[in-house]
Amino acid sequence: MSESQGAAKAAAVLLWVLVGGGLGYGVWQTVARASQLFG
Amino acid sequence: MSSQAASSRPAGARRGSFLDRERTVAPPGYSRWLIPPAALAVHLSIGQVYAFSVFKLPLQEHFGTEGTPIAVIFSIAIVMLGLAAAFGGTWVERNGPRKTMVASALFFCGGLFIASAGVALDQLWLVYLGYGVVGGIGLGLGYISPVSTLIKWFPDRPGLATGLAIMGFGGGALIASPLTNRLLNSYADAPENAIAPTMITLASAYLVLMLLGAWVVRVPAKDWRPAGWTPPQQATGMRAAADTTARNAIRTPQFWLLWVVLFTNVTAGIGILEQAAPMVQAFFSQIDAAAAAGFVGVLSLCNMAGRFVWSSTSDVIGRKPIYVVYLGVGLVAYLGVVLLGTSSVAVFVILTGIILSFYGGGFATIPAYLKDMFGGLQVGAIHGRLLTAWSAAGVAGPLIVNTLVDAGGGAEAGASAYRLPLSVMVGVLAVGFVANALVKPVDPRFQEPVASGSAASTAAGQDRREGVGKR
Repeated sequence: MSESQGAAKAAAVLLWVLVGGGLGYGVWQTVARASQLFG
Repeated sequence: MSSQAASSRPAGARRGSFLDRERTVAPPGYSRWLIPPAALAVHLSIGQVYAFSVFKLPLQEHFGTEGTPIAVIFSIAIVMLGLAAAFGGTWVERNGPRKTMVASALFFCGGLFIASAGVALDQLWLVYLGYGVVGGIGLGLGYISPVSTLIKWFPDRPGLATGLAIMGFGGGALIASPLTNRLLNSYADAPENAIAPTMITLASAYLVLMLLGAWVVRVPAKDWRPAGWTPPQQATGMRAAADTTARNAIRTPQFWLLWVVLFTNVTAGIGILEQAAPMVQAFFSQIDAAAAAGFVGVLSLCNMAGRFVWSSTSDVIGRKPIYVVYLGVGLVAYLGVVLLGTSSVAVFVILTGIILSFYGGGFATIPAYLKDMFGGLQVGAIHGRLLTAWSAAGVAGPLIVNTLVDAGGGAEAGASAYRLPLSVMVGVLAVGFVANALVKPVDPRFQEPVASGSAASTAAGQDRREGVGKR
Protein backbone atom coordinates (compact mmCIF):
# COMPACT_ATOMS: atom_id res chain seq x y z
CA MET A 1 0.00 0.00 0.00
CA SER A 2 1.51 3.33 -1.07
CA GLU A 3 1.82 6.28 1.25
CA SER A 4 -0.92 8.27 -0.51
CA GLN A 5 -3.19 5.21 -0.45
CA GLY A 6 -2.74 4.93 3.29
CA ALA A 7 -3.45 8.63 3.72
CA ALA A 8 -6.65 8.30 1.68
CA LYS A 9 -7.80 5.40 3.87
CA ALA A 10 -7.01 7.40 7.00
CA ALA A 11 -8.98 10.31 5.55
CA ALA A 12 -11.91 7.97 4.87
CA VAL A 13 -11.89 6.81 8.47
CA LEU A 14 -11.70 10.45 9.61
CA LEU A 15 -14.67 11.22 7.36
CA TRP A 16 -16.66 8.39 8.93
CA VAL A 17 -16.00 9.98 12.33
CA LEU A 18 -16.91 13.48 11.07
CA VAL A 19 -20.14 12.51 9.29
CA GLY A 20 -21.14 10.14 12.09
CA GLY A 21 -20.52 12.82 14.69
CA GLY A 22 -22.31 15.43 12.60
CA LEU A 23 -25.34 13.22 12.10
CA GLY A 24 -25.36 12.34 15.81
CA TYR A 25 -25.29 16.06 16.68
CA GLY A 26 -28.12 16.79 14.24
CA VAL A 27 -30.30 13.93 15.46
CA TRP A 28 -29.69 14.81 19.11
CA GLN A 29 -30.62 18.47 18.52
CA THR A 30 -33.73 17.47 16.57
CA VAL A 31 -34.86 14.92 19.16
CA ALA A 32 -34.53 17.64 21.80
CA ARG A 33 -36.73 19.91 19.66
CA ALA A 34 -39.18 17.11 18.88
CA SER A 35 -39.61 16.34 22.58
CA GLN A 36 -41.32 19.72 22.96
CA LEU A 37 -44.29 18.24 21.10
CA PHE A 38 -44.92 15.82 23.93
CA GLY A 39 -43.67 18.04 26.75
CA MET B 1 -1.84 4.79 -5.33
CA SER B 2 0.04 7.39 -7.34
CA SER B 3 3.36 5.53 -7.13
CA GLN B 4 1.69 2.25 -8.16
CA ALA B 5 -0.02 3.93 -11.04
CA ALA B 6 3.23 5.53 -12.13
CA SER B 7 5.14 2.26 -12.10
CA SER B 8 2.51 0.43 -14.15
CA ARG B 9 1.99 3.23 -16.70
CA PRO B 10 3.27 2.58 -20.21
CA ALA B 11 6.04 4.92 -21.34
CA GLY B 12 4.63 8.01 -22.97
CA ALA B 13 1.13 7.54 -21.62
CA ARG B 14 -0.53 10.71 -20.38
CA ARG B 15 -0.95 10.63 -16.63
CA GLY B 16 -3.99 12.87 -16.51
CA SER B 17 -5.24 15.18 -13.83
CA PHE B 18 -5.71 14.16 -10.21
CA LEU B 19 -9.40 14.87 -10.81
CA ASP B 20 -9.78 12.52 -13.79
CA ARG B 21 -11.85 9.37 -13.56
CA GLU B 22 -8.90 7.07 -14.32
CA ARG B 23 -6.98 8.50 -11.36
CA THR B 24 -9.81 7.53 -9.02
CA VAL B 25 -9.91 3.81 -9.86
CA ALA B 26 -9.48 1.86 -6.62
CA PRO B 27 -6.63 -0.66 -6.38
CA PRO B 28 -7.39 -4.34 -5.68
CA GLY B 29 -8.50 -4.96 -2.10
CA TYR B 30 -9.82 -1.43 -1.52
CA SER B 31 -12.73 -1.66 0.92
CA ARG B 32 -15.99 -0.37 -0.48
CA TRP B 33 -16.97 0.76 3.02
CA LEU B 34 -14.46 3.60 2.66
CA ILE B 35 -16.67 5.17 -0.03
CA PRO B 36 -19.96 5.96 1.80
CA PRO B 37 -18.40 8.65 4.06
CA ALA B 38 -17.22 10.48 0.92
CA ALA B 39 -20.77 10.44 -0.42
CA LEU B 40 -22.18 11.45 2.95
CA ALA B 41 -19.69 14.33 3.23
CA VAL B 42 -21.13 15.85 0.05
CA HIS B 43 -24.80 15.15 0.80
CA LEU B 44 -24.59 16.32 4.43
CA SER B 45 -23.09 19.58 3.14
CA ILE B 46 -25.51 20.33 0.32
CA GLY B 47 -28.42 19.20 2.53
CA GLN B 48 -27.93 22.62 4.16
CA VAL B 49 -30.39 23.92 1.58
CA TYR B 50 -33.26 22.34 3.55
CA ALA B 51 -32.26 24.52 6.52
CA PHE B 52 -32.43 27.72 4.47
CA SER B 53 -35.57 28.73 6.37
CA VAL B 54 -33.32 29.56 9.35
CA PHE B 55 -31.93 32.47 7.30
CA LYS B 56 -35.38 33.61 6.22
CA LEU B 57 -36.35 35.99 9.04
CA PRO B 58 -32.83 37.47 9.49
CA LEU B 59 -32.68 38.11 5.70
CA GLN B 60 -36.11 39.77 5.79
CA GLU B 61 -34.93 41.99 8.64
CA HIS B 62 -31.61 42.74 6.97
CA PHE B 63 -33.07 43.71 3.59
CA GLY B 64 -36.26 45.19 5.07
CA THR B 65 -38.48 43.16 2.81
CA GLU B 66 -41.44 40.77 2.89
CA GLY B 67 -41.14 37.00 2.91
CA THR B 68 -41.70 36.38 -0.80
CA PRO B 69 -38.50 38.02 -2.18
CA ILE B 70 -36.53 35.96 0.32
CA ALA B 71 -38.42 32.73 -0.42
CA VAL B 72 -37.44 33.21 -4.08
CA ILE B 73 -33.79 32.49 -3.13
CA PHE B 74 -34.70 28.94 -2.07
CA SER B 75 -36.92 28.41 -5.11
CA ILE B 76 -34.13 29.46 -7.49
CA ALA B 77 -31.75 27.04 -5.76
CA ILE B 78 -34.16 24.08 -6.10
CA VAL B 79 -34.93 24.87 -9.75
CA MET B 80 -31.19 25.12 -10.49
CA LEU B 81 -30.68 21.82 -8.65
CA GLY B 82 -33.10 20.12 -11.04
CA LEU B 83 -31.65 21.80 -14.13
CA ALA B 84 -28.03 21.09 -13.20
CA ALA B 85 -28.85 17.45 -12.43
CA ALA B 86 -30.78 17.09 -15.69
CA PHE B 87 -28.30 18.81 -18.00
CA GLY B 88 -25.10 17.96 -16.10
CA GLY B 89 -25.83 14.27 -15.58
CA THR B 90 -24.00 13.08 -18.69
CA TRP B 91 -20.99 15.28 -17.86
CA VAL B 92 -21.00 13.78 -14.36
CA GLU B 93 -20.96 10.23 -15.76
CA ARG B 94 -18.16 11.05 -18.20
CA ASN B 95 -15.88 12.84 -15.77
CA GLY B 96 -16.28 10.67 -12.71
CA PRO B 97 -17.08 11.49 -9.11
CA ARG B 98 -13.94 13.35 -8.02
CA LYS B 99 -14.06 16.09 -10.62
CA THR B 100 -17.81 16.43 -10.10
CA MET B 101 -17.54 16.59 -6.32
CA VAL B 102 -14.84 19.27 -6.58
CA ALA B 103 -17.02 21.22 -9.03
CA SER B 104 -19.98 20.81 -6.69
CA ALA B 105 -17.91 22.06 -3.74
CA LEU B 106 -16.68 25.10 -5.67
CA PHE B 107 -20.17 25.99 -6.93
CA PHE B 108 -22.02 25.36 -3.67
CA CYS B 109 -19.49 27.00 -1.34
CA GLY B 110 -18.68 29.71 -3.90
CA GLY B 111 -22.40 30.45 -4.01
CA LEU B 112 -22.45 30.89 -0.24
CA PHE B 113 -19.43 33.23 -0.43
CA ILE B 114 -21.11 35.31 -3.15
CA ALA B 115 -24.34 35.41 -1.13
CA SER B 116 -22.42 36.60 1.94
CA ALA B 117 -20.95 39.40 -0.19
CA GLY B 118 -24.48 40.26 -1.32
CA VAL B 119 -25.58 40.55 2.30
CA ALA B 120 -22.53 42.61 3.27
CA LEU B 121 -23.10 44.99 0.30
CA ASP B 122 -26.91 45.07 0.73
CA GLN B 123 -27.38 43.67 -2.79
CA LEU B 124 -30.21 41.12 -2.79
CA TRP B 125 -29.58 40.23 -6.46
CA LEU B 126 -26.13 38.98 -5.46
CA VAL B 127 -27.81 36.61 -2.98
CA TYR B 128 -30.08 35.35 -5.77
CA LEU B 129 -27.06 34.85 -8.01
CA GLY B 130 -24.86 33.32 -5.30
CA TYR B 131 -27.06 31.08 -3.19
CA GLY B 132 -29.71 30.53 -5.84
CA VAL B 133 -27.99 30.19 -9.23
CA VAL B 134 -24.35 29.31 -8.46
CA GLY B 135 -25.11 27.36 -5.28
CA GLY B 136 -28.01 25.59 -6.97
CA ILE B 137 -25.69 24.25 -9.68
CA GLY B 138 -23.50 22.86 -6.90
CA LEU B 139 -26.56 21.19 -5.38
CA GLY B 140 -27.48 19.41 -8.61
CA LEU B 141 -23.95 18.18 -9.37
CA GLY B 142 -23.37 17.13 -5.77
CA TYR B 143 -26.68 15.31 -5.48
CA ILE B 144 -26.25 12.85 -8.35
CA SER B 145 -22.50 12.20 -8.40
CA PRO B 146 -22.00 10.17 -5.20
CA VAL B 147 -25.22 8.25 -5.81
CA SER B 148 -24.11 6.69 -9.10
CA THR B 149 -20.67 5.98 -7.61
CA LEU B 150 -22.15 4.12 -4.65
CA ILE B 151 -24.43 2.12 -6.96
CA LYS B 152 -21.30 0.89 -8.80
CA TRP B 153 -19.69 -0.13 -5.50
CA PHE B 154 -22.83 -1.87 -4.19
CA PRO B 155 -24.34 -3.63 -7.23
CA ASP B 156 -25.61 -6.32 -4.85
CA ARG B 157 -27.35 -3.80 -2.54
CA PRO B 158 -28.11 -0.64 -4.52
CA GLY B 159 -30.99 0.32 -2.22
CA LEU B 160 -28.70 0.36 0.81
CA ALA B 161 -26.14 2.38 -1.15
CA THR B 162 -28.54 5.06 -2.37
CA GLY B 163 -30.27 5.14 1.01
CA LEU B 164 -26.94 5.86 2.71
CA ALA B 165 -26.10 8.77 0.43
CA ILE B 166 -29.52 10.36 0.21
CA MET B 167 -30.06 9.97 3.95
CA GLY B 168 -27.20 12.45 4.17
CA PHE B 169 -29.19 15.04 2.23
CA GLY B 170 -32.01 14.75 4.78
CA GLY B 171 -29.53 14.76 7.64
CA GLY B 172 -27.79 17.87 6.35
CA ALA B 173 -30.67 20.05 7.47
CA LEU B 174 -30.66 18.48 10.95
CA ILE B 175 -27.05 19.61 11.35
CA ALA B 176 -27.25 22.96 9.55
CA SER B 177 -30.38 24.18 11.31
CA PRO B 178 -29.09 24.24 14.94
CA LEU B 179 -25.57 25.14 13.78
CA THR B 180 -26.79 28.15 11.79
CA ASN B 181 -28.95 29.31 14.68
CA ARG B 182 -25.98 29.10 17.01
CA LEU B 183 -23.72 31.04 14.61
CA LEU B 184 -26.36 33.72 13.97
CA ASN B 185 -26.70 34.28 17.70
CA SER B 186 -22.98 34.35 18.42
CA TYR B 187 -21.51 36.62 15.68
CA ALA B 188 -23.55 39.75 16.46
CA ASP B 189 -26.11 41.22 18.83
CA ALA B 190 -28.91 40.48 16.34
CA PRO B 191 -29.16 37.60 13.80
CA GLU B 192 -29.74 40.00 10.87
CA ASN B 193 -26.27 41.45 11.50
CA ALA B 194 -24.59 38.05 11.60
CA ILE B 195 -25.70 36.58 8.26
CA ALA B 196 -22.52 37.23 6.24
CA PRO B 197 -20.03 35.78 8.77
CA THR B 198 -22.36 32.83 9.35
CA MET B 199 -22.48 32.08 5.61
CA ILE B 200 -18.69 32.41 5.35
CA THR B 201 -18.18 30.04 8.29
CA LEU B 202 -20.58 27.46 6.85
CA ALA B 203 -19.04 27.73 3.36
CA SER B 204 -15.53 27.24 4.76
CA ALA B 205 -16.52 24.19 6.78
CA TYR B 206 -18.46 22.65 3.88
CA LEU B 207 -15.60 23.32 1.46
CA VAL B 208 -13.15 21.37 3.64
CA LEU B 209 -15.63 18.51 4.15
CA MET B 210 -16.59 18.24 0.47
CA LEU B 211 -12.99 18.40 -0.77
CA LEU B 212 -12.04 15.72 1.76
CA GLY B 213 -14.85 13.61 0.31
CA ALA B 214 -13.59 14.25 -3.24
CA TRP B 215 -10.09 13.14 -2.24
CA VAL B 216 -11.36 9.95 -0.62
CA VAL B 217 -13.83 8.89 -3.32
CA ARG B 218 -12.85 6.04 -5.64
CA VAL B 219 -14.57 4.17 -8.46
CA PRO B 220 -14.27 0.39 -8.69
CA ALA B 221 -12.01 -1.18 -11.31
CA LYS B 222 -13.90 -2.27 -14.41
CA ASP B 223 -13.87 -5.97 -13.52
CA TRP B 224 -14.38 -5.50 -9.79
CA ARG B 225 -17.27 -7.28 -8.11
CA PRO B 226 -18.21 -7.77 -4.46
CA ALA B 227 -16.91 -11.05 -3.06
CA GLY B 228 -19.37 -13.88 -3.63
CA TRP B 229 -21.63 -11.86 -5.95
CA THR B 230 -22.24 -12.75 -9.58
CA PRO B 231 -24.00 -10.28 -11.87
CA PRO B 232 -27.23 -11.63 -13.38
CA GLN B 233 -26.65 -13.05 -16.85
CA GLN B 234 -30.24 -12.52 -17.89
CA ALA B 235 -33.09 -10.24 -16.94
CA THR B 236 -35.00 -11.29 -13.82
CA GLY B 237 -38.30 -9.63 -12.95
CA MET B 238 -37.83 -5.87 -13.31
CA ARG B 239 -34.04 -6.13 -13.39
CA ALA B 240 -32.44 -5.64 -16.78
CA ALA B 241 -29.30 -7.57 -17.67
CA ALA B 242 -28.39 -4.99 -20.31
CA ASP B 243 -27.82 -1.24 -20.05
CA THR B 244 -29.81 1.61 -21.51
CA THR B 245 -28.18 4.96 -22.27
CA ALA B 246 -29.66 8.16 -20.85
CA ARG B 247 -30.54 9.24 -24.38
CA ASN B 248 -32.59 6.08 -24.94
CA ALA B 249 -33.99 5.94 -21.41
CA ILE B 250 -36.02 9.13 -21.84
CA ARG B 251 -37.62 7.54 -24.92
CA THR B 252 -39.06 4.69 -22.87
CA PRO B 253 -42.50 4.78 -21.18
CA GLN B 254 -40.80 3.38 -18.06
CA PHE B 255 -38.82 6.59 -17.56
CA TRP B 256 -41.93 8.75 -17.72
CA LEU B 257 -43.93 6.39 -15.49
CA LEU B 258 -41.16 6.65 -12.89
CA TRP B 259 -41.17 10.44 -13.41
CA VAL B 260 -44.87 10.42 -12.45
CA VAL B 261 -44.16 8.11 -9.50
CA LEU B 262 -41.49 10.46 -8.12
CA PHE B 263 -43.54 13.56 -8.88
CA THR B 264 -46.64 12.28 -7.04
CA ASN B 265 -44.69 10.94 -4.07
CA VAL B 266 -42.78 14.21 -3.64
CA THR B 267 -45.88 16.37 -4.20
CA ALA B 268 -47.75 14.49 -1.46
CA GLY B 269 -44.83 14.72 0.97
CA ILE B 270 -44.23 18.41 0.36
CA GLY B 271 -47.94 18.99 0.93
CA ILE B 272 -47.41 18.10 4.59
CA LEU B 273 -43.85 19.35 5.02
CA GLU B 274 -44.61 22.82 3.73
CA GLN B 275 -47.61 23.28 6.03
CA ALA B 276 -46.44 21.19 8.99
CA ALA B 277 -46.38 23.83 11.73
CA PRO B 278 -49.63 25.70 10.90
CA MET B 279 -51.41 22.43 10.09
CA VAL B 280 -50.77 20.75 13.45
CA GLN B 281 -51.91 23.95 15.19
CA ALA B 282 -55.04 24.03 13.03
CA PHE B 283 -55.87 20.42 13.93
CA PHE B 284 -55.16 20.87 17.65
CA SER B 285 -55.72 24.28 19.19
CA GLN B 286 -53.75 23.37 22.33
CA ILE B 287 -50.50 23.04 20.31
CA ASP B 288 -48.32 26.15 20.79
CA ALA B 289 -45.47 27.38 18.54
CA ALA B 290 -42.77 25.43 20.43
CA ALA B 291 -44.72 22.17 20.21
CA ALA B 292 -45.37 22.83 16.51
CA ALA B 293 -41.61 23.24 16.01
CA GLY B 294 -41.25 19.89 17.79
CA PHE B 295 -43.68 18.37 15.29
CA VAL B 296 -41.52 19.65 12.42
CA GLY B 297 -38.56 17.98 14.13
CA VAL B 298 -40.41 14.64 14.32
CA LEU B 299 -41.20 14.86 10.61
CA SER B 300 -37.55 15.65 9.79
CA LEU B 301 -36.42 12.55 11.68
CA CYS B 302 -39.01 10.38 9.91
CA ASN B 303 -37.94 11.84 6.56
CA MET B 304 -34.27 11.03 7.21
CA ALA B 305 -34.86 7.58 8.72
CA GLY B 306 -37.20 6.61 5.86
CA ARG B 307 -34.45 7.29 3.35
CA PHE B 308 -32.18 4.64 4.80
CA VAL B 309 -34.66 2.12 6.23
CA TRP B 310 -37.09 1.89 3.31
CA SER B 311 -34.44 2.06 0.60
CA SER B 312 -32.48 -0.77 2.27
CA THR B 313 -35.71 -2.74 2.59
CA SER B 314 -36.22 -2.43 -1.16
CA ASP B 315 -33.14 -4.62 -1.68
CA VAL B 316 -35.09 -7.43 -0.01
CA ILE B 317 -38.65 -6.98 -1.27
CA GLY B 318 -37.94 -5.32 -4.62
CA ARG B 319 -38.29 -1.81 -5.97
CA LYS B 320 -41.77 -2.02 -7.48
CA PRO B 321 -43.31 -3.57 -4.31
CA ILE B 322 -41.73 -0.90 -2.08
CA TYR B 323 -43.36 1.83 -4.20
CA VAL B 324 -46.66 -0.03 -3.86
CA VAL B 325 -46.13 0.48 -0.11
CA TYR B 326 -45.05 4.14 -0.41
CA LEU B 327 -47.98 5.07 -2.63
CA GLY B 328 -50.64 2.58 -1.45
CA VAL B 329 -50.06 2.71 2.31
CA GLY B 330 -49.25 6.41 1.94
CA LEU B 331 -52.65 6.92 0.32
CA VAL B 332 -54.37 5.10 3.22
CA ALA B 333 -52.35 7.14 5.73
CA TYR B 334 -53.38 10.39 4.01
CA LEU B 335 -56.99 9.22 4.10
CA GLY B 336 -56.49 8.45 7.80
CA VAL B 337 -55.35 12.06 8.40
CA VAL B 338 -58.51 13.32 6.66
CA LEU B 339 -60.89 11.03 8.58
CA LEU B 340 -59.14 10.44 11.93
CA GLY B 341 -56.63 13.28 12.11
CA THR B 342 -58.45 15.24 14.76
CA SER B 343 -59.03 12.23 17.05
CA SER B 344 -55.70 12.56 18.89
CA VAL B 345 -52.27 14.16 18.57
CA ALA B 346 -50.62 10.72 18.67
CA VAL B 347 -52.68 9.41 15.72
CA PHE B 348 -51.96 12.59 13.74
CA VAL B 349 -48.21 12.41 14.42
CA ILE B 350 -47.98 8.68 13.61
CA LEU B 351 -49.86 9.04 10.31
CA THR B 352 -47.95 12.11 9.12
CA GLY B 353 -44.68 10.52 10.29
CA ILE B 354 -45.40 7.46 8.13
CA ILE B 355 -46.18 9.68 5.13
CA LEU B 356 -42.91 11.60 5.58
CA SER B 357 -40.89 8.40 5.94
CA PHE B 358 -42.34 7.28 2.58
CA TYR B 359 -41.48 10.70 1.12
CA GLY B 360 -37.83 10.21 2.10
CA GLY B 361 -37.90 6.57 1.03
CA GLY B 362 -39.20 7.55 -2.40
CA PHE B 363 -36.26 9.90 -2.94
CA ALA B 364 -33.69 7.35 -1.80
CA THR B 365 -35.05 4.31 -3.66
CA ILE B 366 -35.56 5.90 -7.08
CA PRO B 367 -31.88 5.64 -8.21
CA ALA B 368 -31.91 1.92 -7.35
CA TYR B 369 -35.20 1.53 -9.25
CA LEU B 370 -33.55 3.24 -12.25
CA LYS B 371 -30.53 0.97 -11.95
CA ASP B 372 -32.80 -2.08 -12.02
CA MET B 373 -34.66 -0.83 -15.09
CA PHE B 374 -31.86 0.77 -17.11
CA GLY B 375 -28.66 -0.83 -15.75
CA GLY B 376 -25.74 1.00 -14.16
CA LEU B 377 -24.11 2.37 -17.34
CA GLN B 378 -25.52 5.91 -17.14
CA VAL B 379 -27.68 5.69 -14.06
CA GLY B 380 -26.36 9.04 -12.79
CA ALA B 381 -27.37 10.83 -15.98
CA ILE B 382 -30.80 9.15 -16.01
CA HIS B 383 -31.27 10.02 -12.34
CA GLY B 384 -30.39 13.61 -13.10
CA ARG B 385 -33.05 13.83 -15.79
CA LEU B 386 -35.64 12.26 -13.49
CA LEU B 387 -34.98 14.87 -10.81
CA THR B 388 -36.88 17.41 -12.91
CA ALA B 389 -39.90 15.71 -11.29
CA TRP B 390 -38.62 17.03 -7.96
CA SER B 391 -38.41 20.59 -9.29
CA ALA B 392 -41.95 20.31 -10.71
CA ALA B 393 -43.30 18.84 -7.45
CA GLY B 394 -41.57 21.59 -5.50
CA VAL B 395 -43.79 24.05 -7.33
CA ALA B 396 -46.97 21.93 -7.56
CA GLY B 397 -47.12 20.64 -3.95
CA PRO B 398 -47.06 23.98 -2.12
CA LEU B 399 -49.23 25.57 -4.83
CA ILE B 400 -51.99 22.95 -4.44
CA VAL B 401 -51.97 23.01 -0.66
CA ASN B 402 -51.67 26.78 -0.18
CA THR B 403 -54.33 27.58 -2.78
CA LEU B 404 -56.85 25.11 -1.37
CA VAL B 405 -56.16 25.99 2.27
CA ASP B 406 -56.68 29.67 1.48
CA ALA B 407 -59.88 28.81 -0.38
CA GLY B 408 -61.04 26.90 2.71
CA GLY B 409 -60.61 29.92 4.96
CA GLY B 410 -56.91 29.58 5.87
CA ALA B 411 -55.26 27.87 8.83
CA GLU B 412 -57.43 29.99 11.17
CA ALA B 413 -60.45 28.00 9.97
CA GLY B 414 -59.03 24.89 11.68
CA ALA B 415 -58.79 21.32 10.44
CA SER B 416 -61.68 21.75 8.00
CA ALA B 417 -59.50 23.99 5.80
CA TYR B 418 -57.11 21.07 5.27
CA ARG B 419 -59.69 18.40 4.37
CA LEU B 420 -59.86 19.29 0.67
CA PRO B 421 -56.09 19.66 0.02
CA LEU B 422 -55.39 16.43 1.91
CA SER B 423 -58.12 14.67 -0.11
CA VAL B 424 -56.54 15.98 -3.32
CA MET B 425 -53.24 14.45 -2.18
CA VAL B 426 -55.02 11.09 -1.82
CA GLY B 427 -55.91 11.41 -5.52
CA VAL B 428 -52.35 12.46 -6.40
CA LEU B 429 -50.99 9.33 -4.69
CA ALA B 430 -53.57 7.19 -6.50
CA VAL B 431 -52.19 8.48 -9.83
CA GLY B 432 -48.68 7.52 -8.71
CA PHE B 433 -49.91 4.10 -7.58
CA VAL B 434 -51.36 3.40 -11.04
CA ALA B 435 -48.19 4.68 -12.77
CA ASN B 436 -46.07 2.32 -10.66
CA ALA B 437 -48.41 -0.58 -11.44
CA LEU B 438 -47.89 0.08 -15.16
CA VAL B 439 -44.09 -0.17 -14.97
CA LYS B 440 -42.87 -3.16 -16.99
CA PRO B 441 -39.35 -4.28 -17.96
CA VAL B 442 -37.66 -2.12 -20.61
CA ASP B 443 -38.03 -3.26 -24.23
CA PRO B 444 -34.67 -4.74 -25.38
CA ARG B 445 -34.67 -2.49 -28.46
CA PHE B 446 -33.76 0.44 -26.19
CA GLN B 447 -30.86 -1.47 -24.61
CA GLU B 448 -27.21 -1.57 -25.55
CA PRO B 449 -25.82 -4.82 -27.00
CA VAL B 450 -24.55 -7.16 -24.30
CA ALA B 451 -20.90 -8.16 -24.64
CA SER B 452 -20.56 -11.93 -24.36
CA GLY B 453 -19.43 -13.09 -20.94
CA SER B 454 -20.03 -9.80 -19.20
CA ALA B 455 -23.74 -9.28 -19.23
CA ALA B 456 -23.82 -6.75 -16.46
CA SER B 457 -20.30 -5.46 -16.36
CA THR B 458 -21.39 -1.90 -16.08
CA ALA B 459 -17.99 -0.42 -15.48
CA ALA B 460 -16.60 -2.24 -18.50
CA GLY B 461 -19.52 -1.04 -20.56
CA GLN B 462 -18.92 2.49 -19.39
CA ASP B 463 -15.29 2.38 -20.44
CA ARG B 464 -16.19 0.91 -23.82
CA ARG B 465 -18.91 3.42 -24.69
CA GLU B 466 -17.55 6.59 -23.22
CA GLY B 467 -13.93 6.20 -24.18
CA VAL B 468 -12.79 6.30 -20.56
CA GLY B 469 -9.11 5.35 -20.32
CA LYS B 470 -6.45 6.21 -22.81
CA ARG B 471 -6.02 4.23 -25.95
